[in-house]
Parts: sequence; structure tokens; C-alpha cells
Amino acid sequence: MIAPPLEAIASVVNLTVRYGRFTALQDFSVQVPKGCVGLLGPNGAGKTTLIKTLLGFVTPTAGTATILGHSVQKEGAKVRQRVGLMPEQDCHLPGMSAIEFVAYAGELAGMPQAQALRRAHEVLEYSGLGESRYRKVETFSTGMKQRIKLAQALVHGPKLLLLDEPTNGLDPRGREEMLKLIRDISLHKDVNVIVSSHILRDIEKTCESVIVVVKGQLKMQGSIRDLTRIQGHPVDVELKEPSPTWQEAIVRRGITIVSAERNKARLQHEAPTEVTTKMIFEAAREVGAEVRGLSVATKSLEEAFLEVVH
Amino acid sequence: MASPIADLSYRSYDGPLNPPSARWWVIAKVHTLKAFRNRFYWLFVGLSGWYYLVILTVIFIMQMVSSNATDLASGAGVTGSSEIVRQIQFIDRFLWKNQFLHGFSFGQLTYLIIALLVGAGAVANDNRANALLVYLSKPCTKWDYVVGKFFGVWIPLVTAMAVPSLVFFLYGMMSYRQHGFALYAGAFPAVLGAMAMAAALHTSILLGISSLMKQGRIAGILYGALYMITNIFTVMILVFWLQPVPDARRDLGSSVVVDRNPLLQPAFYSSIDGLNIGMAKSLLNVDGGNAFGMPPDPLTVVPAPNGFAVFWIMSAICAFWLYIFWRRVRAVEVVN
Repeated sequence: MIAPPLEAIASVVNLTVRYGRFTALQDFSVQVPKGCVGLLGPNGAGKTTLIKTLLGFVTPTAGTATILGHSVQKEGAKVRQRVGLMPEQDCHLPGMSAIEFVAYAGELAGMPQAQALRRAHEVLEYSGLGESRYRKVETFSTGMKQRIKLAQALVHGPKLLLLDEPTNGLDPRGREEMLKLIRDISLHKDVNVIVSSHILRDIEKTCESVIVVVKGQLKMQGSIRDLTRIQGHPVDVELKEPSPTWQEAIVRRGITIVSAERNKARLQHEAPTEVTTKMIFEAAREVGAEVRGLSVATKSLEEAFLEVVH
Repeated sequence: MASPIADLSYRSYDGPLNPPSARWWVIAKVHTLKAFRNRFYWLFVGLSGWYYLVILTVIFIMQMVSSNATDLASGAGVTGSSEIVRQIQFIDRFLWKNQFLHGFSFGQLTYLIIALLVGAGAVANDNRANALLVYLSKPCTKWDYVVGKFFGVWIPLVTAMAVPSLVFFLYGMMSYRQHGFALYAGAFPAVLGAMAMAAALHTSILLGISSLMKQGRIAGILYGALYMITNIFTVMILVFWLQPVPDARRDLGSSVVVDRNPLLQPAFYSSIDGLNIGMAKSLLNVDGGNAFGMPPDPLTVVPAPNGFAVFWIMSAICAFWLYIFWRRVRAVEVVN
């Protein structure tokens, strides 16, 4: 079930990380594709350890990792100059206003002072904190703190953004807004993003592909479309009204009704989807039924995830 | 619902980035500027120079008195007027380099307050706010963080110590050259050296303690307590030192041989305050003495310690606390 991507932004080979006797990552290998990638796994699976190792916070026992062509172990500073981290925990620099904090983060990343200040204004505006830029970060709400963590990670124009639980502690509206920001960054700003989260809906809304880590090992990798596809290409059909005669017409054509509930049905046929679709419309025309919706059936990411984990 | 993205024209940064070296200076600069923007910092800098202000006022008044007395004596044709003038013009017998020592010694308490103001929360507050994640996720190393924080506290502290002495030095060079001030011009760089060491000692211990805490005020209280306890010890030793010594003559200005317990002198310098003053005495090559220019009393003055010994002791203490600080710099807590 592991499909290696064509173009990798990060590459991890046989990585083992141990904390004393506990092995957090065991012989872990993965090629992280460009775009927005979800890092999924149950609590304690090793997601955060992987991120920390990629940033050089944790020294691996064995294996190698490269990001954007730079070795994590040998060129840590170069890696961190091209990467932005939005950590899971609250983090800020005490006593600083938002603008000072973000400009300082830019300078720490290597930006000239004037550029850092200019960019801090831009990135705070982009993150929706423009009006609060002169407020002390300590006085920010949880949602604002999440945004400023994103702003300090973005300020120096990283090519890869590591987001660790970016929607932690946010209310539904704040969560939605954060997800929109992440989508915009990955789709329109030419920034590759790795989102580590255990909230599958967040991943589904923002990412094109996922990496599933379970007990420190790579369990699955691929695009969300591939992962949620159901074998045999079943089709979901929605009629205007329930129609037993249409169901009979469908069965007569050799199509299997996998499930049917009121005006909805999931159908499966050996023929290609285009042929099945044509037969569904023929059956509807024959009995005078009206097809309201038709789509290739998929499972949710949650279903796919649970299948992998268990 | 309005878009959460406030600026839709935003573009990712593609401008210049400095190579990932010497990040410590960014940290030191920001910390230093933060201290310089604090009005209490400048208040205590002003207060730390109180001795210089007093001594300059005393000199000014004495000069006025001396000038008037000279005019009166010569006008009245008093016999032996030159002797009277010599007695009054005590300024010519001033030990100028002693004034730098006294200025530095009497400022110790304010230096402590400035050190607490600038350094107590330097690392503790970062620990509380998880700021290390911000620093270490950027191209900053542990080395950059430690060195940057050190200089971020050391520069404001050494500035605070140096400014009053510099003002006194410049004023002295302009006004008292003819009274022997220029002969002791080397005292200023010497006292600067002592200040650099004293600031390093304050900074290292404070950062070490601060790195162990999550609240700046707790770190400040602990350092203040450590400073005061060791200082009380020094004062107790001084009390022993000042005990009457049998068969010792108390002629001012003469050398007196006194048999004292050999441990008393090193014990006197066994405090943060004592080490700083000991280093200053060694570098200025003076034993100290009474303030306001009077000749020293050899029975009450504790002689300067061995400069090399003090230097190495201070360096060892700095290294110990900086090592503790270094060990505490971790982006993540790893539980084995």
C-alpha cells in the first residue's frame, strides 16, 4: 500500500530514534512528496518525534534524513533556514509585541533587520493579526496565539512548513479559518506543508496525501484519493424518490446492489465506471425514475485510517 | 463569513537571507536594546554613580573654600600662609585611583539590582513561554543561544557600571589634570577590566539560576539571596578584621605589621561582592582606604588579594554556571 512519490521534498531512510529503552521510531523510511502532506497516527505513534528529528532537536540512533537536499544531521542550520515550524505547544518570546516577535523570528532566520520588519507586517496582515500587531503576545487569545505561531514560522519564506496540531484548542470557526489559511499557503504560495494531526477531518480538508505512522513505523502512504478509493469502483446513486422497479431493472442488468436505503443505493459492477453509469441511466429511463446524483463511491479518511491502524 | 486571510496579495518571501552564522549577535542585540529601553535601568545607572557625584561635590566645595582661604591669607599677610594653603589644598594629595575603586565598590548594590532587572528573567521567562522552540527551530544553535543571552545581559550590565566611571574620568581629565589626575589615567581601563569581570560573574550565575527556573522573579529572589548571604559572610569577616590588634600602632600613613589569621583575608573576598572588589583592587593595584580622599588606615584596610587567584576563581565560577545553563538549553524535554 506504499506508493513512493515522484518528487520528494524530504527523504527519511531507515531512521531509528530511541528515548532510553523506548523506541519512538523504528527503521522508518519515507519519501515526503511536494504539496500538502498529512502526518497521521494515533497518540504516541511517533509523529512529533519525526518532526523533531527532521529539525535536529532529537539525534537519531540510526538512519539518515534529508530535507530539500540538505542532510538533517550535517546541515541542520541550512535545513532550519528553509523550514518553518509551528509547534504544538504555546510558544512566544515574553514581553514582546506581535510585530517585535515576528520580526525577531525573521532576524533569527537570517533576514536583514529592515526586511524582517517589513515582512513581519506583511505576514501578520496575511495571518489576520494586522490589527493586533502592537499588542503583547501574552495577551492574545488561543486562536490568536495559533496564528502568531504560524506567522513566525512563515516570516522568512520557508520552502517547507511543519505544522504540529495546528488546530489545537481552536473553536469551530477558528479551526475553519486556520484550515483555510493552510490551504491557501500550500495551494497558492508555493510552500510545501506537512500537517501533523490526529484530527482526520483537518487532514482531509487541507492535504492531498497522507503518511500514516503507527507504533513508530510507516503504515501507509499515498494520495487521499487513492486511500479512500473502494476496490471494485462502486457507484453511489441518489434518486428523486425511492423506486423498487428501478432496483429490479438494475439487477436485471447484472449490477450488484451493495446497499440501498430509501432513495440512495450503492452499486457495484465489473465493467468500467463509464459503462456502469450508462446502464444506470438506461434503467432509470426504462422505469421512469429520476437520477438526482451519481458519484464514484469512496470511504472516508477515517474509515481508511481505521482499516490501516487495526 | 469573511475570509480569514486578511491580505490576499501576500506573497512568500524570496529575498536575501544571511548565512546561518553569528546568530548570537541578533539575540544579544535584542536583549540589550530591551534593557536600554527600560527607564528603571537608566534610573539605577544614575544611582550607581552616587559616590562620584558626592566626591565631585566635596572637591568642588573644598576648592571654593581653599581658594577663599588662600586669598584671605595672602591679603592679610599672614605668616606661614603657604603652609595653610598646603593643608587646605588636600586635593593635591588625593589618591585618584582609589576613587575609581570606591565608585565601583559603593555601586555594588545597584549593580545587583540592575543585574536582576536585566538578567533574572532572561532564560526563566523563555522556559515558561517555550521560547526555545522558536529559537532552535530557526538556524540558531545552542551555542548562539547561550552566547547571545550572555552578551545580552553582560553588555547592559557593563555599560551600567562603566557610564558613571567614564563621566568621572572625563570630568577629572578636564578639571583636575593639574592636581595629579592625569598620573592615574590608567586607572580607568583598569577599573573597566574589573567591571568586565564583575559583569561576567553576575551574568553567569544569574543565567545559570535563571535557566533552572520557569519564573524570572524566583530566579531573581534566589540570586539576590545568594548575593546577600555571601555578602553577610564578608561583613562578618570584616568585623573580625576590625577587632583591636594588640601592639599595633594606628599611625595613619605608616606601614603597620600585624599578625592576623591568614584565612581572614581570602575569607573576606569569598563573596560575589568580595570577588568583584578584590579583582578591582588587584587591577588598580590599591588596597583601598577611607573614602573621600583620606589616606588609608592600614589596620582597617583589607589588602588586595592575589589578582591571578581571583581571576581564576571568578572564571571557574562563571564556567560552572554557564555549563549548567548550557545543559538546560533543550528544545524538547526528553524523558529517558
